[in-house]
Amino acid sequence: MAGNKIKLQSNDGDTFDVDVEIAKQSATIKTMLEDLGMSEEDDVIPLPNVNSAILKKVIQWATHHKDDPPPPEDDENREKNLSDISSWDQDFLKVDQGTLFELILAANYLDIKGLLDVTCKTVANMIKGRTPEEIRRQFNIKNDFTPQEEEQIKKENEWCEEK
Amino acid sequence: MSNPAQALVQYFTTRFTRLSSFTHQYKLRQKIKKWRPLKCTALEHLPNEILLEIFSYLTLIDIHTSFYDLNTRLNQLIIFSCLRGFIIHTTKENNLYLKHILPHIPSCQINTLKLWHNSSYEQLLNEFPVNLCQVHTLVLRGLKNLSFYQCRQLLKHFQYLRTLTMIDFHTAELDWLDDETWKTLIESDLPFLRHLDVRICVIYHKQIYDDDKDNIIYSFTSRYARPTYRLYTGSLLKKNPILEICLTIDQVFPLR
Repeated sequence: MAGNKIKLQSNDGDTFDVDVEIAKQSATIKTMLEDLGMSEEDDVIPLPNVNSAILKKVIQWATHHKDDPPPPEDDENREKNLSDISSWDQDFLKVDQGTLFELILAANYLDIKGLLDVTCKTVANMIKGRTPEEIRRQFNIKNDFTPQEEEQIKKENEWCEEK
Repeated sequence: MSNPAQALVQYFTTRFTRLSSFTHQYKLRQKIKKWRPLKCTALEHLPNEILLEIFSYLTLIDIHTSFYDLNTRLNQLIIFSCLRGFIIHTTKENNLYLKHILPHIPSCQINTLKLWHNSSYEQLLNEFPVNLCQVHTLVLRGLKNLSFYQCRQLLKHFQYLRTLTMIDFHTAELDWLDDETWKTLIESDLPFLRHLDVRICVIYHKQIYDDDKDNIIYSFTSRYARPTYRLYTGSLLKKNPILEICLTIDQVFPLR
């Protein structure tokens, strides 16, 4: 490892040189470097849950957001806003569903709160205002209810039509 | 001692085995290099923690109307989300929560309940779901202009309560600061209560002299070993100059 760079290795063997400060946006990598005593001189940091294409996107996102202030602490009582996605992030996340979900999984595994927030918000925006059938088609969700269960659910949900 | 033919066979066998081993390792390395995990192309493949994170960006109505009859797993997750507590924005959401979700959850699963909306109070009093009596942790948030008496009527339904949190109460009702009322609540109404977390903003619409301020604070805090408190004077409440004082008590009281 040279200077203030670090090597990250995806699960398909590709290695990426990344600035340490950019990589440290991932709390997982930060922990590896700081708490577990891994040094920047170590060969590579393997990331077995992230493939090369997704790792490349994650690094791209982290590089763009390297000067962002640290995200606020989690507060379950805080109301979350769906509309505050920057135009850069919106363009960055114009990807197919599979890539979006893999980015969410990578953000979760690497513990990058900002990326997890913005990707989850994007999915939430895709869901908002849709009917169950639209959601089922859009996300290919399989129905495992028996006809009797479905009938029961419809009865229970009749109130939703009331204004 | 082996003859030359046997030695030759042994030599080739060793070389072949070593070559075979190298080939195997090479293929394994290539395989590892080319291996990719199963591509997650569907929402359903996301783990529960991620789906709950996505749910946290939606309202209860959004989730219920978009997801509730899609499959068993999503239904269970919605119920779990409701148990964790949602921010209730509207009366309609509150209706959904209290009348159509909570009653369908087995009472043994409801240990913690969060109520967020003023209409919770009236609805709970009028149509108290019987399955809530086993709740041991109750969070009341954002209930406005309730008197302590009204709150006690509500809390009588939670007789097994062990932890009570009251946040963002804004009220002009002075009975919140009556030491005797608190004593009755804690010692008689909620005999199992162990922890009380109170963040109540009591607003006065009249001038209060310094001595009165001290008495009010002492009245409440004396029983609980003088917790810390914050006192804001009217000059800080720029939005509403009529208000003279706003007392916020922000403390966890270990009771017993």
